[in-house]
Amino acid sequence: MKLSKAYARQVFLNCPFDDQYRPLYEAIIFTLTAAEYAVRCSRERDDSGETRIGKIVEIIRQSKFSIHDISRVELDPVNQLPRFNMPLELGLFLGARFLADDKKQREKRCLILDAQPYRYQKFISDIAGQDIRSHDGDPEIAIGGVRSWQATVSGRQLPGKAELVKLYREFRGDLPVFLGGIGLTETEMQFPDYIHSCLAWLKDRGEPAQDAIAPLSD
Amino acid sequence: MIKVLDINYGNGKVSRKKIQKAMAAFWARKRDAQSISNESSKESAGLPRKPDKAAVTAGA
Repeated sequence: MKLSKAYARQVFLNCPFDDQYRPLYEAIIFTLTAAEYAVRCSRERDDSGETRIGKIVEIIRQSKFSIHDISRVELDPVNQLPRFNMPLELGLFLGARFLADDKKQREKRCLILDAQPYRYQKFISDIAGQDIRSHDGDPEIAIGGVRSWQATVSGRQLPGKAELVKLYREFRGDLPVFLGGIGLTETEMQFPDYIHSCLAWLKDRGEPAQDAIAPLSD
Repeated sequence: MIKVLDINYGNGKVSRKKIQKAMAAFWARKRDAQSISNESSKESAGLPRKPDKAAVTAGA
């Protein structure tokens, strides 16, 4: 199946989507959006006719890049079992890359995030050699990690970390006020609400940060 | 201006169109507030205020 021209601008985001992780995934989504990438994830649409794994496989096929946060290794407090979805989806992405006949699929690149440096060696050592960074649970460290990984693998000129952090702080300051105006709270906000707010905020700001991004080369 | 890929994310609690419209209004209000704040700062610093557009037209 032919890939769209947007392939090189799509990033599959594989991370926890709970309240505890929310500050990190919101910062990552904002960073990618400000760098003119389209963030794809299993929460992007709700189609009951589609299996979850089928939806994820299709998003992976359509995305050149991916970010996998494997930091959620704690046992679930209710059933005392770990969650395996994130490592499973990382495996799907690596499989799509390494087993593909298609050149574009073999060009896939991913960033693996964990809370602490080198901790992954204790629970998923086979991923050694991939691009793995730690964020220490800090959204601004995550912004810097995502930004420098993306600048390296894409070869594009992106705004610096300090500029992205400044933009993100301004956006975070505006968001509750904006959401209040449309009758939403941050906890009610769903993935499409958040990404549409990021896109509209950046577009309407007409920010010099976007001018700093090199022209599209794909 | 940021280049946005046309991905169909569907609608969340609020439609994409409503968010876009509300954000445009939000930025208009924010810019107005910033402009008023800048004028007040100039005034308190003893700098001349930006002339009122209506007054300029009337004077001309």
